[in-house]
This record gives sequence, structure tokens and C-alpha cells, in this order.
Amino acid sequence: MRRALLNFALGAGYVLGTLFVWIGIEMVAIDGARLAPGVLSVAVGIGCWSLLSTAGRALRTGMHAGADGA
Amino acid sequence: MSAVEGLAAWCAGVVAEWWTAALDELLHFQSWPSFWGWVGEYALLFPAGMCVVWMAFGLRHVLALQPRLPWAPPERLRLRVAVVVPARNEEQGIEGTLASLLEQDHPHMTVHVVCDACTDATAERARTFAGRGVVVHELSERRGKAGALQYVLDRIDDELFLVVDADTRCEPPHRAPDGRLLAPGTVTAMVQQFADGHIAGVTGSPRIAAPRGLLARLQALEYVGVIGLIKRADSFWGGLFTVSGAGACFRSAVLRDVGGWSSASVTEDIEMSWRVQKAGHQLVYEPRALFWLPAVEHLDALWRQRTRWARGMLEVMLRHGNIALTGNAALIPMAAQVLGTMIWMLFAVATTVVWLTGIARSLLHGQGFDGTTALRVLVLTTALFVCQTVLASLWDRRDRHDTLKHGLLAFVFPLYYWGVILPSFVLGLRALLRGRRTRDGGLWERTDRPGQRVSDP
Repeated sequence: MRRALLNFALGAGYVLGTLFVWIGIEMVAIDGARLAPGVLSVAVGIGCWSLLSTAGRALRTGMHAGADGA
Repeated sequence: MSAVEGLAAWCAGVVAEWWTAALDELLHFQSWPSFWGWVGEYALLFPAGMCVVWMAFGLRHVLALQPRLPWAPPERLRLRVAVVVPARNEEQGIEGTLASLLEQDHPHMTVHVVCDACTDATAERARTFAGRGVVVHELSERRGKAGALQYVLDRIDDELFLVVDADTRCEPPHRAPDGRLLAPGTVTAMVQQFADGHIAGVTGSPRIAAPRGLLARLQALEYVGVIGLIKRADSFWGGLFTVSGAGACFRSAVLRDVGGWSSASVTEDIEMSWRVQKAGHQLVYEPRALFWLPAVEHLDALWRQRTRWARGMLEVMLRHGNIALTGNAALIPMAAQVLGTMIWMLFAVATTVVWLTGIARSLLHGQGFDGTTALRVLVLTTALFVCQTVLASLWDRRDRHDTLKHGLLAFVFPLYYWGVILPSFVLGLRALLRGRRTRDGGLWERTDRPGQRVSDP
């Protein structure tokens, strides 16, 4: 249950990040003149994904696949 | 007001404007566009959004992960590798593939060719390499690619299991005249990654060898500018949507732990990638491991290949898409990306039909139509895609074919995507629905790249 909630929260975070990217591109491409806030919105979305992917890597159960050393 | 104060005021204004707009979009549902407006916006903006996301995380991979790629001299690598070459009527390409494998400098490798009930001279040609450490297995009944791979997995005790397609060539190691290693061969590059005990599988960088003709050049561009970049971004997020079927290496023990190769899917590579990762293991991208593929030279063959890929992607998402309880949280961005892409493909097809109908109706009634917004988004998306292609080409500049020259093709690429990839997704969906009634058991015919061999890259 805890795992499901955690995964759901991460998924919701990715959706939020995607929305920020969307809003940013919409500002630039559709609203035209709003370049700076559009770029900021894209940056916030990317930052969101970046933070969440770092959290996702850290939260991996971390099964050990094999012996160390190639 | 000083310049610094002016800059601070401008920044505050930008943040305030963005925050107001974001709140308006997120909270004021009544100002959201109608359903069809929303579908159209999604269809228009998704490619541009993904361009930005892939470039950003491709850059993170180049800056953060690439400088830390593991390295040990080949002679110090201890893991034994079974290189498995499944073949179904590959008499034209098999010798080149085996020759490229024998050029590799990994000290502990055995090459297994599995002839899947071949009706041509594949086995005879492979046997000419038997004196040089190549083992040839001849199957009397067709088992498909997954069945051929499982046949070898059941019979080896090597630590690593490397799959190489029978029409694919590996990059040889490059040495200076004094014997110093300048760049590792494909196998050595892949084995390096397994120094980390958490890594269960590695995929290399597939490239199109010596592309000739528009279709081949567009595929070369796609492999570097889209597929390679996505693998970089995926790898940074901690996993991969899929390993490349033409060249991927796994720990044999992990393959056995997750149940071995499955013939139930038409794309065994995507299926295995998800099964391994759902079990909590990590897959990574190794940009130094180059695999040279022949291009699919005919449109109908390319269509069939992409339809198979689309069907495989849909199959895997149906079978493994439920990741609510997975212990591998790194799969979430991969699933989000695939889900977003699948929705986009459906919306893009719907939007194209609606727009074309609307344009035709407007023209019939002698009315004009306003395509300003669509044109503006198209220009932005194309500009972003050109940036993406150029960046990816620079990062993968070991490509001998000067992919930057293909950067010009980036302007044509959206047409290729809209004309080939999008319709093949619809056909893949149709094939999936029909395939449920007429399951073919994952058997294969080598129709994707029929009768083609890799020229010297």
C-alpha cells in the first residue's frame, strides 16, 4: 500500500511537471509574446522531472543483480 | 533604478506572470479549451514538449553520466560472455556479423549462432567460422527469435548473454600505431558496465551503416537524433523503455530469474526490458557500444517493421504497464512517456482527420481558414527538432557518416514521422486486436531488412 501511494505520488509529480512544460510551450507558441515566463515554466517542469527522477532512482528497491567486478 | 534593480524587477515580473498563468491553467477549469480544442493542443504541443524534455535530460546524461562511464582494459575483464546470434535465413549477412564479432578483443567470449530452421545457406556459412570459436546450433523446427535465444540460455553457464542480430556488425576496437587502445570495441564497451553489480542489462547504440537514399538517411537521423537521445534521457532517469533488439547484453542469471525469453510477444526486446526492470533490476545505455545495422530500404518493409514495433509496445504496456506496485520507481517516467506518446498518436491521427476535413469543407464553401496557430507551433516544433538533431549528432559524433550533414533532413523528418510512424501505430493497434484471435506465437520472418547486408561503415 505504501509503495502504491509512493508510486502514485511520483506519477502525479511527473504529470505536474509535464503540465508546466505544456503551459510554457503554449505561452511561447500560442500566446506568442510571452517568451520569458514560457521559458521559466518549461524550466520549472524540467526541474520537477529532474527532482522526481533523482527520487525515483533513490527509491528503487535496489536488487543486486550479480557479483561486482566485470 | 540601478541595472541590478531593473533586472531583479524584470525577473520578478516574469515569475509573477508565469505564476498567474500557471494558476489560471491549473485551477480555472472553466477557461480550459473544449475537448476537441484540448485534443488539438495536445496533438500540436506534445512533440515540442518531448523535444525539450529529451534535450534537457540528454544533456544531463552527457554532463553527469558520460564522464563517469566505467573503464577497465579488456585484458582485466573477467566476465564470460555468450554472444548469441539468432538467425532465420540470413545467408547474406551472417559472415559479416561473425567477422565483426571475431574482431572484438574481449578475452572471454563464445559466439553461438542459432539457425532457426533456416532454408538457405546460413548454417553452412556460419560453420566456416567453427574453427575460430563459433558454435553453430541448427534447430529443425522454427521457434522464433525468443525461442532461439532461450535454446542457448538453457545450455550455457556464461555470466553474460549478449544478443546480436544476424545482419548487424559490431564496432571493432580502435588502436593507435603503438598499440594504445583509442576506443573500445562493442563487446568490451558493454561488459564495462557490469562492473556495477546493480546493472542487469546494457543496450548499445544502434546506427545505420552507410545510408543511401532518402529513406535510409531519415532512418540514420532517427537512430541518432531520436532513438539515441531517448535512450540517453531514459538512462539518466534510471532505466530504459527498451533495449535495442539488435544489440543488448544481460546477466544470464537475471534472464533465468525472470523466466527467460518469451515467445508470446512480437518484440521480445521490449518485453524482456520491462520484465527485468519490473523485477527491480536496472538497465543502462552504453553510448560507446556501436551496432551497425542495414537500413530498411523499402517503404513497405519499413511499414511492417514499425507496425511490429507499435504492436509490441502496445502488447507490453497491456501486459506490464501496471507499475503501481513496482519496487522500481525509475520505471514511472518511462511509463509516463510511453503513455503520453500513445495518447498523442491517437490524438494526432484524430486531429489530422478533423483538420483535413475542416480545410476541405472550408475550401468547398469558398471560405478561408485560419492556420496561424498551427503554423506557429509547426515552426517552433521544427526548430526544436533541428536543435535536438544537431545536439544528438554532436554528442554521438563518433558516427562516421557525419550525421550533422543529415541535420538538414530534420526539416523533412516531421513528414516522415507523420507519413510512416503515425499510420504504422494505427496498423499496430489493429494488428494487436486481430492478433489476439490469431496469435502467431512470436515466430519471425526476416522481412524488416530483407536481403540486405551491412556495407563497411
